[in-house]
Amino acid sequence: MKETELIDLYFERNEQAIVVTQEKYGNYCHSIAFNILYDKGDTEECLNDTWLRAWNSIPPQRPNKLQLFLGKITRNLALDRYKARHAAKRGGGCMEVALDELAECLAAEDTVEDLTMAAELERSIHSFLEKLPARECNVFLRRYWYMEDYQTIADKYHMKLNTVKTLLFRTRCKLNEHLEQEGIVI
Amino acid sequence: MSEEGKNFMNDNKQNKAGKILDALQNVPDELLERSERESATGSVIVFIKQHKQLAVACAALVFAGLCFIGYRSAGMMENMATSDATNSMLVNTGGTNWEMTADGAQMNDAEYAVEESSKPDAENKPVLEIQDKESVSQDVTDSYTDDYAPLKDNEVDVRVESAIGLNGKNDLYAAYMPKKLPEGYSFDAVSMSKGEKAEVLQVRLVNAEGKYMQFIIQKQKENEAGGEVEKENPEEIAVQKALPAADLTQEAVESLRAATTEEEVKSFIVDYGEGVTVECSGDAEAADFFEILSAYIKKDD
Repeated sequence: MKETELIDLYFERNEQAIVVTQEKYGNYCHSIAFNILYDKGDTEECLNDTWLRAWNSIPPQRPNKLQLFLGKITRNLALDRYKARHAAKRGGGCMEVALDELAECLAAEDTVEDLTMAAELERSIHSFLEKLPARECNVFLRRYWYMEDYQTIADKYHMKLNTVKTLLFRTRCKLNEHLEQEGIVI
Repeated sequence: MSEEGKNFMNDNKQNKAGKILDALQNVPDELLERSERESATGSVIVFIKQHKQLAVACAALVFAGLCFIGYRSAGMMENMATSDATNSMLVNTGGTNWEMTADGAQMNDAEYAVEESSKPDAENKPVLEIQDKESVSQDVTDSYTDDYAPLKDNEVDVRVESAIGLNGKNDLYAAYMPKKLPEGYSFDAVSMSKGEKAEVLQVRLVNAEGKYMQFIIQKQKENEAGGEVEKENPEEIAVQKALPAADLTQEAVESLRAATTEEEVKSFIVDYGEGVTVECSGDAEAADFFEILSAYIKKDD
């Protein structure tokens, strides 16, 4: 079934839409959620929330790329779930290491968190990513958007493990410089 | 630092990192799509690495398939070339004929006669066909380097030109051999003949749909007395009025071709001055003819 036909099912409020979505994008969303949560039970719950949120969002929304739309919902829900769980106890998996690595990019000053700052940070990071060479940007996103581990990224892009590590280290340094240049302190 | 202090530092750092992760949430779809697309390509390479034997077997099957298709295509092209010969589309320039040989040398009549006599079906072969295709391909293949890369359909392989030995040896070839072909077209045949009064370069292009374009570029030599151009075969040229290159437009090409019939293979002549005329024929689109013909003007400029 084509993506547009699937979206039409959502608009018709046909529950078959969820079944087809699970079949077609289940694995994709599962890998995103599991890389963040690192727990089968949490991942399943997160996916169920994803299908429900997609059902409630379409309509009125009509996503251009359903796969990415679902991926973003999954990631968002998984991050929320991770934060809730982490408030009580620190977990394991790639998420911990990824967070540690990204924290190094930030200046040490504490500032008041507000929505404007968050929007500015988002804009700045997007412009940073768009300026990166394609391969570097891809690897960065696989690591910090999809939360994939180094080995998986190395396999996917036919790179050596150390090359991936070095590339990510340099990209984080560049991001650090970029944020400092733009005066963004979190 | 106390354990409590370390935990606070870690939580603080992770809180900041969490903000970056949140900021990444709405990353442009194009970037995510690209990372997904290019990682899929990587996955194929990983699969090949992990299943080398299976990959080799698949590659061998694909190669065998391509060879079979190539063999069939070569047969079809040969049939086309034979039928072309019987269509009398060649220009007889008289005088000494020469053809491209494997080592790039030009042959005079005597050498040509010896060469031709050794061929059992010499009479049936088109006069302007590249001679001894097998040996030409052999030499060309020998001259390939390791980094030889496949060309697109509309690119001209200058390495082949070099291997044949024509680079810089012939002005007509240098100026009128198309360097860029219209989309979808490739060379079918290229040949030259050199007479006492004229040189002729013939280029035939075909596309996958079987449409073809043929260009017979004829350059009359200046006579010693006054530099005036003497037509090699005036009766042949005079049959059709030549369009001056200065008036060449796509519309003009369309109208010239519309004035002819299918039986006449829609031929027309363009006069580039200095004794150079290009006779065009074939069932290709006028735009494709115009693309080649207009490039000739640029070269002269």
